[in-house]
Amino acid sequence: MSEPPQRVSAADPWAAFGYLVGGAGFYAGVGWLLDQWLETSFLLPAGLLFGIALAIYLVFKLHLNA
Amino acid sequence: MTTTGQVLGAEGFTPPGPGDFNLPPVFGDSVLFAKPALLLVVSAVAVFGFFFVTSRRTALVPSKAQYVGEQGYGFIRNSVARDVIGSQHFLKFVPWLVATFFFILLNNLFGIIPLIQFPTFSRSSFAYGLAVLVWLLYNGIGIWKHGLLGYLRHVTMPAGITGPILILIIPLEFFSTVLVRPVTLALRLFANMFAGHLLLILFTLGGEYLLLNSDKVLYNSVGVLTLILAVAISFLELLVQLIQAYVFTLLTAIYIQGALAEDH
Repeated sequence: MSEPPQRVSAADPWAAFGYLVGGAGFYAGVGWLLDQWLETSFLLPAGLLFGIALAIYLVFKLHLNA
Repeated sequence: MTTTGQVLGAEGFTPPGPGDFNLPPVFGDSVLFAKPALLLVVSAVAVFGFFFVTSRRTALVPSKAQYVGEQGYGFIRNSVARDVIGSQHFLKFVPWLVATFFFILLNNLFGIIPLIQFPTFSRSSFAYGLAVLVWLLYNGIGIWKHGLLGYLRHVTMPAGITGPILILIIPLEFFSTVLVRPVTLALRLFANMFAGHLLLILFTLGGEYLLLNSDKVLYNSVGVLTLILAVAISFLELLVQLIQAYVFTLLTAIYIQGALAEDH
């Protein structure tokens, strides 16, 4: 393997998993906090979906060079 | 025979479960020092001893042990450390990576070595301990290389993404690199070893029960088949144990490279 180092770090397949768990976890948490504050109940699932969407965007952008 | 009868026929068999991983203390009463802890110490001494002895008495015509030691060292040095971290910085991380690989490998192999037969990292706390070391290592390298603020910037702001979306990306990157990464690193090793060991005790105990505790010839013969399968699964486990030791070491190298890289 004589590729430049940047390509190898992009080859970590678990980065995608990390983004998904991180994105879903963090934005679901933000949604839950907002739910507590605003006394609503739809922001947790909304945050969850938003986090997942953002993670998928990141995976495509950074690791698939789309 | 009805299905109910068949189910009742298996009632005397206690299927193995997570409780089988709680082993009694080896010395005295301390539950902290059970078989897994003993194996961990033995493996550390064995790996150190092996490399100490094989590298001390280096001969021009190498002995078999020296050859194996050099091959293993060369493999991690060249195809993991140098290829991933790059020829500029890799040398100072070779000892860590070689030690990690052979330490995990031996602990995994304990799972199928006769009379030992317990993979140390099937106890999750040991795997988490190892992941904490790796976490300290790559974050430490990042902070040493970029400074604390520089490293945080390096970790949270990927190159190639600009504009307002960056604000949304920063917490996500922080989560995935700093918090999720060590957990998945430990979980992968632990879950593979746990599942493998559980599978082996299920097949061994189940086969033994069918063979010895049933008066039906059909069940007895199935028991023999089950025991043969247990041996086959041991070979599958050998493969898994090798791969997991390699994956853990490879990912450690990838994380080190990621922390050292100029550009994320």
